[in-house]
Amino acid sequence: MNQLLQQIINGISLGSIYALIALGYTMIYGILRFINFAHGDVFMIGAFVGFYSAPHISKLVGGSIIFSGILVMLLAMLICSLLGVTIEKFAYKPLRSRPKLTVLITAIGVSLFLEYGGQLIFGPDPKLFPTIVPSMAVVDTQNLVIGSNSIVAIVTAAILMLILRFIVFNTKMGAAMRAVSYNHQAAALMGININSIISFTFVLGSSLAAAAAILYSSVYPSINPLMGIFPGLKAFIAAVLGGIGNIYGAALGGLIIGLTETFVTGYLSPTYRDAISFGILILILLFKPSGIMGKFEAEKV
Amino acid sequence: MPLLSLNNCTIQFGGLVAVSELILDVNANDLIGLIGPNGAGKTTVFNMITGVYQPTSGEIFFDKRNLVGKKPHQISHIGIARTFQNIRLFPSLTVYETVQVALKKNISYGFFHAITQFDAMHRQENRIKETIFEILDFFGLTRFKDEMATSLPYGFQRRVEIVRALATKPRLLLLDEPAAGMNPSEKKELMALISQVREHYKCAILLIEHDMKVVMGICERIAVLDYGIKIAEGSPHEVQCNPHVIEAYLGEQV
Amino acid sequence: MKCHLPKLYLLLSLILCGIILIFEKNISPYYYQVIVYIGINIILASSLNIINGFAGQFSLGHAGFMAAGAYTSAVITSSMHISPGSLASYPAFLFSLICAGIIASLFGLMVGIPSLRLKGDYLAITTLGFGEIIRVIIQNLDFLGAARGFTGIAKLSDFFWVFGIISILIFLVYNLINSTYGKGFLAVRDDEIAASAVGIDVTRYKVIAFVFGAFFAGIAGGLYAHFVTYINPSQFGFLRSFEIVVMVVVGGMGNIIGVIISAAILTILPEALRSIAQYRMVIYALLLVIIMLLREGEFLGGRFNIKRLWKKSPAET
Repeated sequence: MNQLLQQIINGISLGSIYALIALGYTMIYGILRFINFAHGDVFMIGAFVGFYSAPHISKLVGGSIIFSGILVMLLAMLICSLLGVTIEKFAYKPLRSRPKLTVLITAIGVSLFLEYGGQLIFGPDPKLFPTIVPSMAVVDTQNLVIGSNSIVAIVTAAILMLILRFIVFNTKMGAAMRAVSYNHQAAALMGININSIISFTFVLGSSLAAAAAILYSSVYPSINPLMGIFPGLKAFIAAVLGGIGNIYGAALGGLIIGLTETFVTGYLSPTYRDAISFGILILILLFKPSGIMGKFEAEKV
Repeated sequence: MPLLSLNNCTIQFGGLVAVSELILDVNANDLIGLIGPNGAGKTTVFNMITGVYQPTSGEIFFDKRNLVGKKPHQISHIGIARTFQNIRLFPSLTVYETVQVALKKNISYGFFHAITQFDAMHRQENRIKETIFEILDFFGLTRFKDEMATSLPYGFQRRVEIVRALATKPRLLLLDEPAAGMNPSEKKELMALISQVREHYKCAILLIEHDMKVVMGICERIAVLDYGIKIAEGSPHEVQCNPHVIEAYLGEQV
Repeated sequence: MKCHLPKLYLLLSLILCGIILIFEKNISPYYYQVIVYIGINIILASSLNIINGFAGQFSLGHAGFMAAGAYTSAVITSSMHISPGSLASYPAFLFSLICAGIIASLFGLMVGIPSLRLKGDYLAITTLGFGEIIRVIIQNLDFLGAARGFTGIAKLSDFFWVFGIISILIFLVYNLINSTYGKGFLAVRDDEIAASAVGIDVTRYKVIAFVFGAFFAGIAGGLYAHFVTYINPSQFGFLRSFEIVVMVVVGGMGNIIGVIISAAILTILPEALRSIAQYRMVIYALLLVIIMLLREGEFLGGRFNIKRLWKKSPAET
């Protein structure tokens, strides 16, 4: 019983981190209709911003670990937003009218660039992420250890998702985003500046990825330049699973993938962890190709 | 015994009944017009006949065979060909290759012969080549044979689409708004083409068209759809005088 | 006349392979290795070109087919205790390569079936998933060496095998795509609805493309395994699939010659940058982005047709 509870908590904490990354994928897909393969690497950069800035920031603000933790996260979000917008401006924007495949390959190129560039600058070996989130056992009984970092991850992710929900559904900018995701041309005719909406989407997506990176590194503190690949892929699967383009779907998909992974790791074998999320994805797509919450768009003849 | 008969065909998309209880017979050698206001369900009828959509209820018989449940390529093999309202040519194929693809059902060799080039294949390929040139000649498209089909002028694209359909040797040809977007002289050429096709290919034609000059000029019989229901059927003159038709097109009678 | 051209070409390239075989002793081992890698990548890219370029089914799982073939042939030759150079090694290796192709094409069939329902990005991620699943399964099979890898594979691949198979593959693909039968692939890629309306069995074509493409990816895997003599699952990750997709896209989807050239260039490029080892992958990635940004249309144009060399192909949609 305790073990089950343990897995559920771990699963939700991992799942809500996946959900944060998946939201970036799903929003960018919703607007630009392409898979931003570099998103997982923006996540990685977020972790390294945290790694390098945390010691300085905690020296600067002094004792309060919570306050410096928040500052580190905000800094990572800011830098990743800039990175995301830069990538979009230089690599994706010139290709906007070109075939989707060209953009996809470019995204893979950007992803490789960040990964190998990261290896060059940060060094290829894993580094230990500093403790910026209070890390102690909140509950510690037989077979059940709930760390404060898991709780922080869940709560922070929930708060960020609520903020995102507010932005997308209750602000003018969000309404414009939704309009652009339906139809670029119609939105442009309504006086919406498509370019600034796309940039804004990248700001949102990349800053969520950065926040996810700080939370992820606080739970799994070993970071390296290739760390973004698998969380990125899982989050992408989560986005597809939930129905790509749908932000509730991304959150739900993230939780499902996170829970499944921890359960497979806990009860089966860790080596199957990566295959199982793909397995689920394939099954779902076979029976409901548009994902759980996605709408199926039939081709008009 | 009609060539094609739709018995009480209904198709629903969610709550929307696109076509309701449609009864329609097409005899061999008929040239029938299918008209109706936009959104009346005309193209949906074509999609049902060609297997793109399956009717929710009802039966479609073609030459004593039930078409319901058959896939589009099977229906093409049985002998129904179509064109599309918004032209659907293959963007990376030349005019020659477009006709060639449509002749695929004439070849009996399979994948392994295709990759290894056995001699049986050469004989068949030579025959196909002759057939393509015959067809292109007949429709005056020989000079375009190496052009990309989608790079031709609009009128010729429509023509290539009809030629592609005819290359499958259909017994029934479905034309979906062939005159759309054509200027008057192109329309005249199209009407000539259609009667030429009938004479030479001896196939029945079912035609969706908005241009009344074209429809009234060439069709022997006309069926009128409105909101998925057939409201009239008869000779061009009968249909023109039918009060239901006038109402559907012009609204309530004054 | 035209029809005999491919046969003539096949003969010529086999003779060329024979000539180079005689001189191969004079090539330094490093260049020899690079040339063989180029050949293997040409097979991989050309076989993916059948799936992606001709049938228009965007697949990101090619490394999975390659892995299936590599392990199949490695298991077969290892269990036969073949020693390189012995007379028996040639038919045995050929047999193992054919088995590699067959097993890989069975996986191709398995992946091809979901492709009937999925399109575009969804298909891409599903095929990527299948590739990863194949890799993870191998990682968990002890008799295949699991994560430790499979060692002691006889070094049976050489220049002759690799380029002989390239000759055959290009011959087959060229024939296919110039036959009336093969034009059906292009029709399916361009417009499925219009293709089925003229009697093309879209389902069948897609599955055939996957099976045929996977067959040669499996053979490439077998050639690779018997050249490097040690394989492990991490060599067949999705990055490998990416590399192959990039070769196809840079060379021009559906362009037989373009894909061969780009496979060669993209194999040489990282090697040429080896002197600046730590920067080479960064530069490779950067060049990739720059190529995509600067490229107008295709790298080399349409298909194997001189007249279309400079025309844009609308294939990649």
